[in-house]
Amino acid sequence: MEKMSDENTEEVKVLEAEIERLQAEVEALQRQQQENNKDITFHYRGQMENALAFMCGQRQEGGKEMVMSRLKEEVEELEEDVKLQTEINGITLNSCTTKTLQNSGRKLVQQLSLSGNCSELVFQVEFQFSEIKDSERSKRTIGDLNVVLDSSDLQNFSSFLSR
Amino acid sequence: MERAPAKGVLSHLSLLEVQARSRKSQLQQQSRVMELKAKVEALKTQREQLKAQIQTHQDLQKLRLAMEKQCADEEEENMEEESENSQLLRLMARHTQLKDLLHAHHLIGGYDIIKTRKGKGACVSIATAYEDVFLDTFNLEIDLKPTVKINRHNIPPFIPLNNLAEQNNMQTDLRVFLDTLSQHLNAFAGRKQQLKLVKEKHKSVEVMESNVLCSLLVLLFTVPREKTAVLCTLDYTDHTRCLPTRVHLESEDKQLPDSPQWEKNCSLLMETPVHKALITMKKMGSIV
Repeated sequence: MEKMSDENTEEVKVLEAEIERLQAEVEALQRQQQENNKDITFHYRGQMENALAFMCGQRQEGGKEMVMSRLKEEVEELEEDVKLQTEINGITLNSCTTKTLQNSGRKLVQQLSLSGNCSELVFQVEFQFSEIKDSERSKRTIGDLNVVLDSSDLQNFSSFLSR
Repeated sequence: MERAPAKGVLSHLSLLEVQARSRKSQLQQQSRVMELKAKVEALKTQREQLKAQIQTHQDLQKLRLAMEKQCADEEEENMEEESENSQLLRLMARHTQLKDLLHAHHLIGGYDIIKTRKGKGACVSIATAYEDVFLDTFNLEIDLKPTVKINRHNIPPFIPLNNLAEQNNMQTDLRVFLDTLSQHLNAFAGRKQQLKLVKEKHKSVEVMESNVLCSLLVLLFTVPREKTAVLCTLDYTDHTRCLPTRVHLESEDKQLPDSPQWEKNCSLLMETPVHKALITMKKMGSIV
């Protein structure tokens, strides 16, 4: 009986050591995920959350087809929204890369790089966007504006830029 | 004589007790082992989940970069090796791209617009800003069918919303109506901000009168040394602008408003936002 209890203690020790090792691994992975989450491009909500869960091996109702078709619906809605937004703003954006430089609770700083066209003017714009939230309102500022234009109309534009 | 059997019973009892205790501790140890094994499994599952999430994130980032490059350079789409979930991944990447585009539209100013109730209505947000700082945002809920009609909004009552709607053919050209409305709102926000800055940064100047539309401002200046009072009225009759259309000065010293220095100040106030004009006037020694 004592022998069994010794074996047990041995097993307990081995298991406790493995748990400690796994906990350290999980914590390291969680830290990495927190870093990843700072990039607001990759915030998963709605159908994206389901899709992500599916990609991570969690079973979703209806399987892959359901996940795909629901996500497709959401993507189509977003495409409508972008079309509408393009119409009302009169500006077509073709590509948009964002790099999140800082994202603490209160402060968000992003570096954006956009390319698109407005009427016949093709442009590329880069700027830094900061948003600081306090209790009642958020203060948003744009800085470091850089514009690349295909250019014949530069004169009119440079006066706008210097404002 | 009674002792011998008592001893026997006692020692038997204590043996039973020891056995029971050791069995209990054995059971405790076994259930502890099971508990620990379960915890190991749980941690392993958690680890695999996190790894999968991080991997998906990396895959999406790579895919997005390729997509943006394609859009910017208009290259042909090159087919990467199809993995089992690559279709889903591509769809997810497209989702993030669209969200980013909407975010970019939101930032570049212009109006935020969302369709509601299956295209029968829309919510429009108009942002206001002055001197590089975003100020209040105003919202309108609009019915699009059967006619264009404003449903709800948080635009202050002193902005003539209905007049603007009529004058600008809201029915036929929503964009023109929104442009005009935005002009009014931004000018109002600008004037309001100027008033706020005057109160904050120029305590030596007294604000005698102002109105909700911030289209009228009466300030009391004090001239240094003589301590003469000067009453300054700023009329902003063009509500699409942040600068006054009329500046009127009054003083106990009747000569003062016609002096060259104060004529200059008058022009300054017509051409420069009031909070900035006051800084110059202080520097020049006109006011305290």
